[in-house]
Amino acid sequence: MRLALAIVAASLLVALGARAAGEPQHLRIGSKRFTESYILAEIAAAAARASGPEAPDVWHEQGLGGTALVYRALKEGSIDVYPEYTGTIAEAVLHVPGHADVPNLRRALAQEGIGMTDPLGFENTYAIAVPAKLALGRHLETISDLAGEAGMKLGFSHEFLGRSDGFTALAARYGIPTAHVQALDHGLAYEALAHGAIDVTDVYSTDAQIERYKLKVLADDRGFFPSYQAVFLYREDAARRAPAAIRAIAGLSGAIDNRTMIRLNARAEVDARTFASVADEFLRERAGGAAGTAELRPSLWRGIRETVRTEGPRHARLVAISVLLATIVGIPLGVWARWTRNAGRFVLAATSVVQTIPSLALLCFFIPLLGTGTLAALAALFLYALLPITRNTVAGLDAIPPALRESAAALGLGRWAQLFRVELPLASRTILAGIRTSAVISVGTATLAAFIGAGGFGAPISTGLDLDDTRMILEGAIPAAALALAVEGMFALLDRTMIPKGLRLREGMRAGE
Amino acid sequence: MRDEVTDALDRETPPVELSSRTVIVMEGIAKRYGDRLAVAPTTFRVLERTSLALVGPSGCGKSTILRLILGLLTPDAGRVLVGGVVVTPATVISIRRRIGYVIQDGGLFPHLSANENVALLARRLRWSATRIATRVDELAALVRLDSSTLRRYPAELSGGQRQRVGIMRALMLDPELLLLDEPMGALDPIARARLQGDLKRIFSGLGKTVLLVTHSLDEAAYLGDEVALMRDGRVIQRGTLRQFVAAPADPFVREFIEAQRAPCG
Repeated sequence: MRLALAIVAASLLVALGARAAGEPQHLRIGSKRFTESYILAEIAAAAARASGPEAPDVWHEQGLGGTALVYRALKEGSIDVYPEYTGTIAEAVLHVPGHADVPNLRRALAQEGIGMTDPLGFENTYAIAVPAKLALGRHLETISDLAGEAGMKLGFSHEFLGRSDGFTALAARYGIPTAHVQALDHGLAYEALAHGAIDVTDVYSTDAQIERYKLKVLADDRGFFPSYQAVFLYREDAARRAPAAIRAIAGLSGAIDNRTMIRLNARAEVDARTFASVADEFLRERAGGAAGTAELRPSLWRGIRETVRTEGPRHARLVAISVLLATIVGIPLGVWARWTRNAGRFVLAATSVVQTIPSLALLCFFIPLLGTGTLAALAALFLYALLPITRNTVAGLDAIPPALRESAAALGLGRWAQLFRVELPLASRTILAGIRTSAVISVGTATLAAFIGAGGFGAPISTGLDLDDTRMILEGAIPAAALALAVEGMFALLDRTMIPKGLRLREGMRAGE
Repeated sequence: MRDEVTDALDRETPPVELSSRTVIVMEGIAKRYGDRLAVAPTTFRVLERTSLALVGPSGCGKSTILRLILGLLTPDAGRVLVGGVVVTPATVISIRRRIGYVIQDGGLFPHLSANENVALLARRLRWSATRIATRVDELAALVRLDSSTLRRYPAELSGGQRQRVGIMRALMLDPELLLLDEPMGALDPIARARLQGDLKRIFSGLGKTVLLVTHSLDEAAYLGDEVALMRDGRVIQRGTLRQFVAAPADPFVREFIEAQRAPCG
């Protein structure tokens, strides 16, 4: 008997083990919120998918956030791979500025269970650019060449002029005269260059605009700018789980130089191509194959439909769950606040304070407590939805005429029966209005949830903001506005069906009296 | 459960010296609102199957007395007994169910139909549907309302109809005691006269103990076996209207009577 049991247990274990081995592996690739990061992540994803018969299921968690967030996601295992820059790793991840050499970083990262590929072949750092024609005419190749030229009109971004490692330090290193320097917005600098208002400006070294405006990036011959070489970071357990895929990603090192990256950025930003098709084309070209068909980003209408299909359910779920929870908690809280006058005032004040915290700040506040993603977003949305419901519950109960309150008590109803049979039904219309306010606010606030990786209609909005792409912003903003209107309409309908008929009559009678 | 509590309290509280025919006893009851004394220490009784009308100018404390009896207010001194039971937080609910309370304009719940208003407490007490329907029909006949009227919501009823529904609700559990606070206050003269007549018929027909609050001496005299005139939280004089006219206790009583006798007063 015991033997039989052991055999059954053993065969179960074997079956389970076989099942686990047979299951397809997952590989999640993350990105930060800017074009280049999206493209690199798509390239890594495509490379991993093409890594052979054992290729894992790959998906791209787009634009998770800034460095701190995405690195955290990697460390916690929400993602397995993402593109990063050596300078950023030294400064913002390991906090050892100035030690951005690859072996050092690799050693330090290994202690956290993170692997790093060799550099991909390009750097994204501050650089100094001049129009290509001007560079050709004056034989400008390096920043040292620039220092020797007289009469150049310099125009730099506010940030570059303000940083301690910005223009002042650069000028000191190269001996550039600092007399005629204009400060201007980075976005305007390219137009200013094109019209000859300025001759020199600061750029990011892989900026798509470099190709578009035909600029020449001057070589940093004295090694002033810190090194920001692009690499992929990956979890070492992912390398064990999907070795072929990680090998394929590591194989990209040395494959993308600055000119290539500028061209890829330009295809996405200037030619409005999808990130996936830019990545796909790059890999085809690299393999020597024919260029694929250029897949343009869909039209606005199709983009909206696509957003509704992919992000709509997530957005609706965020709003529905947070408002439902806020209703379940908010109404009893309001009743309690009304019964216990002092504590009630405190509760209302506390929920009001929450309401004054900027929504984005509140969302970020929950990240250390609940991590990134849906849970933190739900917590923040819940707190936002709480005040209107609680406040309206108190207001609705307060508005009950004292004579009716006394009638209910004098009738011999107990405290709970008074509450459920008389007071809450009488306050129901005001309470429902509070829930309606909460729901509409939540639809709007939930668009911010995308900033902490919870998705929803905010996803295209935040990507669009990062890429300065109005059409993409609209792809999120229009469905969000439509949803808000739909929620309004739904509550108008609820008001007509859920509120006791006698209460609605009363308003009509009053108007007529 | 409730009755156990009531019984326990009865055992603990030494029965006040009272005749079996006394329904309401107020012993040295006082109530103040801030600095103002709403009810000065007052002691009085209402005997079974009699009606007493409390009358006086507004703010004299007559409505406060009803609220004290119902336990809607807690007295600052003294105590109230209803049917021999002291009104306390533990007994108040069972006492309220032995009292019918009617206020100006009926005090109906606007979210419930007239029927539902009348049956609300009976439903809570799990009366059967047939028992409720039978009782509602009886009461409707008593106050002369038809069943289609009872299906309407308070906002769809006239002032007189609302008041009659309020009376039905008060009588639903067949209470031994009725408290009425300005029941005719919101009615036009014709509706008022009709309702007064019906109330008189109902009081005498059902043999209830009644405590009625009104500011009209005529109404008090018409509906009350006895009248108690109040001023500044005190009962100035108690008796029949005839006694008030023949031997007013003080100049205020005479003044009050004269003012109400004036034409158009």
